[in-house]
Order: sequence, then C-alpha cells, then structure tokens
Amino acid sequence: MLSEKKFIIDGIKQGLRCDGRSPLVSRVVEISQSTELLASGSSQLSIELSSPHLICGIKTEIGEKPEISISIEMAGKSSQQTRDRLKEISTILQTLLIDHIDKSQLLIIPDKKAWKVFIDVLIVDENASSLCEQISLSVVFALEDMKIIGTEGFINKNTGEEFVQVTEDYWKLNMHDVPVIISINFIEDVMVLDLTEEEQACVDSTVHISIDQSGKIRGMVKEGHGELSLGQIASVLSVAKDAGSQIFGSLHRKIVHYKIVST
Amino acid sequence: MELDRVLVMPGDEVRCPQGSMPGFGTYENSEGKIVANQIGYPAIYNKLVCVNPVRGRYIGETSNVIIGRIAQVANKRWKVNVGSPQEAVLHLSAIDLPTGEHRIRSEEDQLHMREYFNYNDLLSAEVQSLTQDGKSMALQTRSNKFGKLKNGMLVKVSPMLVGRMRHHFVQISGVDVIFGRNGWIWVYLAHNAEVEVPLNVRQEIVRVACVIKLLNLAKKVICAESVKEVMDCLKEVLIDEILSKNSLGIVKENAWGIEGEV
Repeated sequence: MLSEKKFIIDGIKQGLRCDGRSPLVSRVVEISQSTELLASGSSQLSIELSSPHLICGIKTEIGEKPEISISIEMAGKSSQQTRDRLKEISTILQTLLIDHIDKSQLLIIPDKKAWKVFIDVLIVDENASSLCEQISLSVVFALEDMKIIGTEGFINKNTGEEFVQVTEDYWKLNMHDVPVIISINFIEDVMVLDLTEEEQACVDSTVHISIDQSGKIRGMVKEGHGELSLGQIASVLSVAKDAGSQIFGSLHRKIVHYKIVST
Repeated sequence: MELDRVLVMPGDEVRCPQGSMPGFGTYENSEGKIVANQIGYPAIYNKLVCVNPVRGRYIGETSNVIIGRIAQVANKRWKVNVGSPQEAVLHLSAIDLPTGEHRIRSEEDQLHMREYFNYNDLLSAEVQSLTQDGKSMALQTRSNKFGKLKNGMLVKVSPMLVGRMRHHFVQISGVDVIFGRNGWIWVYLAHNAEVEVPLNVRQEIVRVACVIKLLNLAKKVICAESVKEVMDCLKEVLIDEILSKNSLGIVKENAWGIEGEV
C-alpha cells in the first residue's frame, strides 16, 4: 500500500476520503434476516453497491451449561496471517459482545440443562474491512432473528433424572442489553470511522467500544500502537455514544448508516 | 464487428459466415463448425471469429498499457502483480535509469533496484512480449510516460470493460487518468514529486474514481468518453453522495452498454 499511503493520509487530514466520505461518516450497510433456512437465526450483511460481505448463522443445542460461542471463518483460501487476525477479532467480540449477553435466559434446569448457542460468521468478501463493527452488527441481527424452541424441564424427584419436554411455541432472546461494537480508528491523530480496505493499511491505532441501547459503554479494547491522551479518549467516547444512538435508531429499518457532525 | 447480440456458452455453435476462422475463445469441432469455448459475446474481425468473454481475468497482449504492483524484488528483475493468471516480470534492463543514460546494467544498478521500484510500489508499464507458452509476460517502462505512480488512487474494475483505446493516458476534468488494460485504473495529479494534493484537485480525483467505480458496477464500457459523459450527468450530485444507488441508476440509464450486450 506504500504508493497510495500518503495520498490516503493527506485526504483524511483534509477531510475527504477516497470514496467521497468525510472521516466521521460510515458506509451504508444493508442487513437482511432469516437468510439461512436451517439455522435458528441468521443474517446477511452487505455494503451498499456491493455483494454480500458477511453471513452469520446461529445454531442451538441442549447441553449442561448455558454457553454462547462464536467462530469466524473466511470463505475460500486464507493465509495464516488472516486466520490469526480472525482469532484476534473473535476474542475482541467475545469480550465486548458475547460476555454482555445475559446467559441466565438460556437455562432450562439450573445446573443440569441449558441451551448452547453457536454463532458462525462467514466472511464472504475477502477484501472486507472494518470487520469488528460489521461482524457485531450481523451477530446482533442474527441473535434478534433467533428462535429457540420452547422447553420445559422436569426432575424426577425419586430417581433424580432430568427430562426436557419440547413445547410447541418458541421464544426469542431478550435483546435489551445486547451491545454493538463501534471501531474508532486513529490515522495521524484524526478519528476515522468505518475504514475501507486501503485505509486499513494506514491505521495507527483502533479503539473498539461496545455500547448498548441505553447508551452505556460496556467495554473498550485498543489495538495498534501509540498512546491515547485523556482528551482523545473523551472524544472517542462521545463519538461512540453518538454513533451508538444512531445505530440503534436505525436498526429497525435494517439499514445502518451514521454520521457524526462535530466532535 | 459484433455478430449477433446473443450470449454463447461453451460448446455452443457460433453462427458466422462461410469461410470464417476460429479465433480467441473458439475452436473448430470435428464437423468443421466454429464452437465457443467460453461464455461471451461472439464478434468477427476480418475472417477471425472470436468470443469476447463477459468476465474473467486479464490475459496479456503485446503493447497493452497496464498498471501493476511490485510483488517481489528478485535477481535483476521485479515480479509484478497485474491481476492476471500470467506472471508479469519487469527486467532491470527494461526500465529507464533515473539519470536517463543508456548503458548495460551493472552490478551497481542491481544494488539500487529497490530505489527504482520497491515492494508494493505501483507502476504503469507496457507489455513488451509474451513467452512462447503464454505463461508469463515481460513488461517495459522505457519511456517517460511509464514508471512509478504517485499522488493518486487506484480503482480496480473488470478488465473486460476496459477496451483498447487510442490514448490510455488521458486528462478528465483537470485530473490525469491511466486506463490499464488489466482493469486497474490510476487517477492522479501529474507531478514529478510526491506532494500534498490540494483539496479542489482531490475532489475531482475522487469524483472521477467514483464515476469509474459506478461504470464498473453498471457493467458499462470504461473509457475517457464514457467517464466524461457520466461526470456531466452527475455534476449536480454532492461528492459524499456520488457512490450511491441513486447515481448508479443514473449511470445505468445514461452510459452506453458493453459491445454486444443485450
């Protein structure tokens, strides 16, 4: 990326990016739900004017402990470097998103039987960028779409055996405290949202912030080099809050697009 | 000249006048009929029947202007990524020395190879020759119009949309554009050194680049004329809204289609 690096960085300083956006404007993301027939819940995410970026599917099964796990894969061949990166992303998602979901809803018989939720994300576009943010969005939509079969658990008092009886209805996860992740990147001390692939090569550091519907900051992870001053952290938080409220405001339209006017 | 506006599949007979010869994308079967071996639109040049593929990767042809990225600095040559299944090689002897002198390249020059072109640098070049087996192409930059690219941005489009044109180095609304036949298009500010591009020029560069992206999405021919035409259509659109479904609709209506497209 060396040839274009100076051009891209200068553009961000001047406030005009290579696709005509300002630094604090996201691309338009379109999401569709229930795309995979055999999954309990699924979503497909694409960026306006391009083919699907991500596919997310959820399957459930009954196990001993309530559990939510996430695995991210790249379609087609991927290098060791990409696989390592995906592993990093799944740890970030685990700490910022999955750990904040209330797992007590998944219990059937406390300490004996509970639902296990497996989230699988497939990255279709090999040039996909801004992955943390977009994977979190697709996961949130897939979770929202997820239908879990209604169950009743009994324990036979004499023998101590557990039974799980399936009822005819299904239930949905309480989405109230599920956060989304917003990634704020620093390129030469300028805050930039929703990077493209080319811009990704110019980033100094990235702060991932998880924020929930009520605007509460749930967690924060920093990647990359360099330090952030307290002032920068404060502005990062205000940008995240602004973006978060815009994202949650537009979720029901299945289109996510946000822009921060001033900081 | 295009034959008829039908898409042919591999194995389909290409309907053509008597006495035609099979060319690129076709072969003659045992019954003496000309049959397509790839998906595309048939066309006839003199007596040669060809099938122009609808999509695919770039296959080098001698004297094509292309844009590539240095993938490897090797012994007396650079390997260049040009988005083609063929290997592209730029020999040390096929470049212009910065001093402009013409002489046999010495070991001294070999040591300075990274100063001429380093890993990840973009360059424009011309396909000088193809090897006999067609598996690799040799490039050359022996002219002051070719060489390292700076002060601009790269747009990658389908190589099938970039045809042969009279000038591959053109100026569109004050910015320079190089149309690489391999589908890589460089939009830039012509300047000898690497400079900070002023905002008004950058706006034009971004506009031209977005228009090229839109033409690619609409599967329209990408050339200086079509870019200029779409630029005129989208004059009123704000720069941050140029890459949207709205403008794609405008492009689909106004630009001309690919040769032979239904």
